Amino acid sequence: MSRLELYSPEGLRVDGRRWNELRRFECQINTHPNAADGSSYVQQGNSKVLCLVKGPMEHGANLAAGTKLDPNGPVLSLNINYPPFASNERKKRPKNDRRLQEISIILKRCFMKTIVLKNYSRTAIDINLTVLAMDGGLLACFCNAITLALIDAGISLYDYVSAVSVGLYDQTPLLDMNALEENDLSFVTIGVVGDSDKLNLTLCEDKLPLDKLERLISLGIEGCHRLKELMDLQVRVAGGQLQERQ
Amino acid sequence: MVRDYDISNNEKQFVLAALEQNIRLDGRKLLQMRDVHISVSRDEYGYAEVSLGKTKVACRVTAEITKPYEDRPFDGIFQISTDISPICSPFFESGLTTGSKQSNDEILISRLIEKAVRRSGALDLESLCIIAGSKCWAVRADLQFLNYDGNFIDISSIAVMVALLHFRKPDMEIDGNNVILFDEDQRNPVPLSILHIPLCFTFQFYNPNDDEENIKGNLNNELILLDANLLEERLSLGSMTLTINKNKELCQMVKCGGLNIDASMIMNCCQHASNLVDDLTRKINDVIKKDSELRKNPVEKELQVVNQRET
Amino acid sequence: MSIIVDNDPLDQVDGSASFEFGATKVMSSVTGPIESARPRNELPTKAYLDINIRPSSGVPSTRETLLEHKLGQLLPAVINLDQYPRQTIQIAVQVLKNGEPKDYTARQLVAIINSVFVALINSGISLKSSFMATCCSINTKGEIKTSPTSSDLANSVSHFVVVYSIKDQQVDNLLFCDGLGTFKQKQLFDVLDHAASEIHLSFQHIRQVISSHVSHNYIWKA
Repeated sequence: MSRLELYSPEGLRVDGRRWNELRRFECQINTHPNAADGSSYVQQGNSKVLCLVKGPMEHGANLAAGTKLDPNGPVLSLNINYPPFASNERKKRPKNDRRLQEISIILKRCFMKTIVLKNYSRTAIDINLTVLAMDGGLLACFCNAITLALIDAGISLYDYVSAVSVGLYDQTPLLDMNALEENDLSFVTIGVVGDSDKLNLTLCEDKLPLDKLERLISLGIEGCHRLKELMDLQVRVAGGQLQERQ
Repeated sequence: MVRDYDISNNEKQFVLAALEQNIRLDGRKLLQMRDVHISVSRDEYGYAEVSLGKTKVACRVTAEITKPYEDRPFDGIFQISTDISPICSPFFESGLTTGSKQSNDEILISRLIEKAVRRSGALDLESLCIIAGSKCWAVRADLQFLNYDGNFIDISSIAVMVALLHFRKPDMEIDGNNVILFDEDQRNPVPLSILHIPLCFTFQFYNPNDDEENIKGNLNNELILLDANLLEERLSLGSMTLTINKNKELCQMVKCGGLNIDASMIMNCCQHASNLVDDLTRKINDVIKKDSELRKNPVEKELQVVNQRET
Repeated sequence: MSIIVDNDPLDQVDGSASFEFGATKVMSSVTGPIESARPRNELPTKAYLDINIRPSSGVPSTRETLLEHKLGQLLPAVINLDQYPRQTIQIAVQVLKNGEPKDYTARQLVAIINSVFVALINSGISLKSSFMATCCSINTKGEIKTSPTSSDLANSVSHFVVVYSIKDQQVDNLLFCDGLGTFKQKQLFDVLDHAASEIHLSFQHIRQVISSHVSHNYIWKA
């Protein structure tokens, strides 16, 4: 079996990037102004994710019957829509896919620490994620899209949460992996709050030598800071447009 | 429905204030594990009971011959079942509605164990193949949670690995398309091929300051605890599970949200866990070794003595 | 035949016990009386028994449902259910070691009943009487064997699970009898007599375990 050359001796990856380069990152907010309170669209390379946020409201539409609202903060409900056409192999996902369930719990817990809880007691916030195309970095795309959509919905956050995946090829860390690289290499997804070095979420599912971890994390943090700048830029552009209209 | 483990404000403040002074109620240091106690069954293969303080878990491994999955004809099947029965604690009710906190914990526990043991390739699946595409071993590990006093994840990874190491499958021979299985007294059963022993370590995080300081501040004085008991686990603001084997490979690192922790502190946790993993691996291997020595039947021992003399 | 009873090994539940005899081991827990989780389980005049049996390996099947059903038939006769109206008594059983092939349930049923009895005592639920189970098998020669091993069961013509209530340390009423296979009426009566004397003996042991546990718990009173 001939293996794809994921990292050439000249230092180029399959899609022509260097080891420390992000994929093209594009994002928009307020994409669906009539459908939801907040919406965003995030494109990281060929991965495309839509996020709609409804809330804060008194009754969550996604909430299971009998769930009580919490006096200490909002009840987040997260719904991930991963249609069969979004990934390379066209297959239908079972309704209770353990992996997606796990990801949604991780995201929920991550944003419960980022939303200013005391402002939203006894409310429900619904988050709907739709994957349009997936080419690696599932959790990272979700995380970035939710941050933007929450900002668009006007929900107060302490800071941006930006996330990126970092993989390891032999000795070289690779930033922002695509699906081809994710399939063959082990990687870790890192979520950072704002401009700090503090990690909100980390997820690593494959074997990694422990002594390489530090380099991966520091590269990941750099990438997250860059993403945060890009997202912040877009939010300011959208905010400027909003001001002009008024 | 009084199904939750309620903690009074007084108790909560007391525990947290003690933690801030680096004191835990059971007298441990912040990064100290409880004593692990492992016992394996004498009269059968693949059964282990592990306790960590008061938390207690049993694991049973069984194997049978089935047809492999069509897309993986050269691999055997390995399943881990982690249903939490109400026996260990009334707030793990069977068949809880999704969305509640407990069922979230349940999903996370089962996913974390699954990823720690199965995905990290602890069990060599290719060695379970008998005839490609038509016959393979299906190994099944059933975890039985007996008593809950925090930290199910770490203890489960120990229990599954001990039970897998302890298990022996019957020896067999392939005759054309038929498989002949041998009884225990005909031929000695063979152990599974275990490639490495991944072990989980769960850290809990506590914040002595308010949320704002945690996110914006530079203090970085969040408290980190290893192997929390039930009370500490309930009060924790975030957790991180590391899975490491003794080759110092990180098989899994999951920090699902929760308190924001500085990267350097996370690296410290990794370092600490990699120091602990050697001891724990040695302990597990000792138990298995002791057990297999007890099992050697007298005839075999005699033969071995003869062999030793010849060489 | 040795019986090993572990009193109250679990501390998240109101009462628990593990019962081991021969190659069979079962752990039981009792929680209750608690509020009913579902409104339809609230019976206006008596407590609802929520019985949950889990096998030693695999997912619960019809075999476990059968065991749950048998236990559910026996327990209302010995628990004072009408003392706890609108409440639930949750009984969770985990089989740890089978000790018999999948086709048989005799040894496990005995271990389940006996461990549930000790767990009920520990939980402080009001009982009408003590009870205890034992099993016997009859082989091809017509000999009765108490507490048969798995090979005894495989070579037997019929086997029985017998539960007696116990009053004043004496075997009292027959509560439950489950016989499988072919047997004559006389053999059945022989088995019942045999079981009664067997229960009389082993109950002494269990009683001792419980009383030492109780005296340990009330050590402050001495």
